[in-house]
Amino acid sequence: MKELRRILMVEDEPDIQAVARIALEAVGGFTVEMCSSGREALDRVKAYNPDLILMDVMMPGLDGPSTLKQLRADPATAGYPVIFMTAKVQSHEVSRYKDIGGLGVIAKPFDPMTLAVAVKTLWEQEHVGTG
Amino acid sequence: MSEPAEGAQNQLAKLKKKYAADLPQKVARVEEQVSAFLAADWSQELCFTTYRQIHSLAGSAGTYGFGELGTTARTGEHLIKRSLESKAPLGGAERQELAAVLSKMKELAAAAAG
Repeated sequence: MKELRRILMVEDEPDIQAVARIALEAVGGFTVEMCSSGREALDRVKAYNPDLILMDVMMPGLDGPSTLKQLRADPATAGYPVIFMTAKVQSHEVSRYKDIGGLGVIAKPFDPMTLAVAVKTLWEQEHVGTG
Repeated sequence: MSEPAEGAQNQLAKLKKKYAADLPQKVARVEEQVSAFLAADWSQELCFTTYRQIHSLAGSAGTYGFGELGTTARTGEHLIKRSLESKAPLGGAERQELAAVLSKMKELAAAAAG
């Protein structure tokens, strides 16, 4: 199974960025690159080449689902796995985010001490048996 | 606890302390935005900006461990969302409820900041 190391986080709220960085780097041991908007993520994703994109749903300008749509429209970025983060985690909304190509959904607010485990669990569910 | 986890706990504790100290200002900014929204003629842009601001505080407060503040802010967020969805100003009862929400948020923020 491919190892999860590099995460591109797309989140516009600086307070959430700060706590997520500790949660993913210091707790989870991942390397994290932070983007503050969907547009910035689209501009930087190829250069950073993450194993996974962790993306807020509700952002000003280009929101999470619209950013994913643009990622999928470009063959060079279509394959990046995306996990959404949102306060709206009713089952039909989780299904909707999966239907548009998300790997899964992590609920906000999140526990900083378990965020990395939640991310890794979704990653492993997708990558089990993929060598 | 392992060393990395302990280090992370310390970093998180420092971050939480700073966030708590800043909370009264954060709530004041939300209150200012809500006041501007309620005072002006209804516009989608202003309503959405207000919605986003209270939504951000609701999310961050919960993540930083201030659950009651996060839940209270979420109530305010839902009120403003109603206005956003109906494309109409909030009614009198909703304005009163929002005022109560903001008052509670200020109280909780002051308590968190110590």
